Amino acid sequence: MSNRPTILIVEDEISISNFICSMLNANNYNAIAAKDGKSALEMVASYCPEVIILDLCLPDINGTDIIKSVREWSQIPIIVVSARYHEKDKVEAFDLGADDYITKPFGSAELLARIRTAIRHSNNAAHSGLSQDGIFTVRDLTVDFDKRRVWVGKNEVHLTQNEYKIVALLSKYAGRVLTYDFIIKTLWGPHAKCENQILRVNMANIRRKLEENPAEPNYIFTEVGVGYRMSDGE
Amino acid sequence: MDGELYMNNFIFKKIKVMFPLSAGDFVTMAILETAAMAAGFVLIYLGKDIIFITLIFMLSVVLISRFTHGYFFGSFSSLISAIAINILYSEFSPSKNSLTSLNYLLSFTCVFTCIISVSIITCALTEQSREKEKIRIQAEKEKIKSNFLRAISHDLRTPLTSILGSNSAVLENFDTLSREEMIALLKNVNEESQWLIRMVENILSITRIDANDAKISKQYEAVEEIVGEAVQKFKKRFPAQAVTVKVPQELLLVPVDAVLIEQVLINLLENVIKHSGGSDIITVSVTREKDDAVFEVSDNGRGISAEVFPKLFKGEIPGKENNCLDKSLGIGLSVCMSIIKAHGGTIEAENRNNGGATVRFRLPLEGEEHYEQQADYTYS
Repeated sequence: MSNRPTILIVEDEISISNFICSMLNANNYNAIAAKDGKSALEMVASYCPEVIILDLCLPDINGTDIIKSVREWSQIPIIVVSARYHEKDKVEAFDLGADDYITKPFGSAELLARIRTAIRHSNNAAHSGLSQDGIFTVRDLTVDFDKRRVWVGKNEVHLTQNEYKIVALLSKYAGRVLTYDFIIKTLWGPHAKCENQILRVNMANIRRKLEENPAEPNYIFTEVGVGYRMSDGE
Repeated sequence: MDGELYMNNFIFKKIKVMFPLSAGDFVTMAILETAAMAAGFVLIYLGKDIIFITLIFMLSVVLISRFTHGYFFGSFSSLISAIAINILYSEFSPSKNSLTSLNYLLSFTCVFTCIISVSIITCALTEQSREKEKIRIQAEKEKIKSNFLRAISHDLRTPLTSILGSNSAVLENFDTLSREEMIALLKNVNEESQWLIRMVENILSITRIDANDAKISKQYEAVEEIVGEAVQKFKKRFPAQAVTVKVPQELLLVPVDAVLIEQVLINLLENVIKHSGGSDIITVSVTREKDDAVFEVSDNGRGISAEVFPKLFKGEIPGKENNCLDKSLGIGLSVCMSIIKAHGGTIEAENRNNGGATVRFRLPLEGEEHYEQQADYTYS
């Protein structure tokens, strides 16, 4: 029992909360549930769960405020589960620091996969501290942060400065969706008056250099209207 | 900067509401008033009769009131006509010397009152009939909407019945059903729920078009990103189906609502699974033809039968009576149609020579004129 990772479910719909709880308990997690924002914040502080599954529509506190206040003191992975459909809700949640976003309705397999990814990421982050040293590998792609070089298989890929920066950034956060805004701000500074277009063009070039077929990517995936994600091998 | 632009736009719209004038109104008025004046002067030299002059100007005022928006032009042209009539009258009147300024003022007021009353009445009638037309269009829209909703709720009922039925069968006969029977029933629930989810995604797409007065918010997007994500999502659902994707070597940016175009591609891909009777391979390709981006989804299945073909994009549910076709064909394709129309594009289907079918849609690369194009429901 003590070895089971604790997962906090913040959801006001009892039926959904129940099904997630029983599914998680059946899959060797220790699920605890909060019905509203206030008790959720208390439970985050007292239980220190490994993952938080958060519904954005809560009766008392707005879900985005919960992300904000948790992020003030903790990097616990937050998976947002929401019925909101529009990309801008996703972008907002990601920009506030959510790790993942699942739109309702979803299957149990999908939720379990996302939880595994979230837990793996938080372990990796704890060990490497997200530092830029070392080497990132996924399938045939290798990114050497020290030498600033990129290989696909045995062939070295020649990227421009900005292209390398984008690939390095995505690799650093492999498996997580990085919003357009986040990438632009990281590359060109917080006051960059940069349109998404420049990023698009850079991405198109990267895709042509890394992928066999730019429309069937193996490494860098698009989340239309939200951002990009580097494959983490799953 | 966006906010500023938005503000400007907003103020402009406000002004437009207060004074509903357009360039067309000015042109209409200028033409009519010139015509009236010309006719007036011609008549003076022919007949020198003030009755004709007055009638001609009266007619012009009525026409202006009828064909312009609001009360401004009607009143303005009444004023001009009254002045013109009075000038002409005083010029050509046989007893012009006896005309005092008081007389002049009186006759002017008299003529002006007559003409402006005619103008106001005409304007009021015109506005009224326009208002009625608006209401009629609104009612028509409402009717289409409610038809759409009725059709959808009908289509939602079928899977819901199956879900509820299978589920209560398990709940109520938990001890008597065999394990296999139970799994079969639960699988049934799963499949029908999946189908419901796709249905809801399609309905959401429609609301996305409708949310902003049938306008869609377009942004320049890379086609390879849209196609890439659509195919990836499709492959998640149908991992066994082979799909090849071809996009142009140079980067092709199209002004679209990417989520909607993705929905179109997914619908077309799923239609192949459901209706082609099995296709070894599906080809998704994008090419550039002059000022259009052309998307194609082709399969090598059994093709589209002749009886279904003409009804394909009409939103009818083909073969509903004999149940040989899947229930979701109707809504899937009509949603595609609505989305493509809202983008100012076209969609068509054809059978390929060597078996199988191709559905092709074109999107304009410079789509700004189509920005306000109406999206309509084609589900019947």
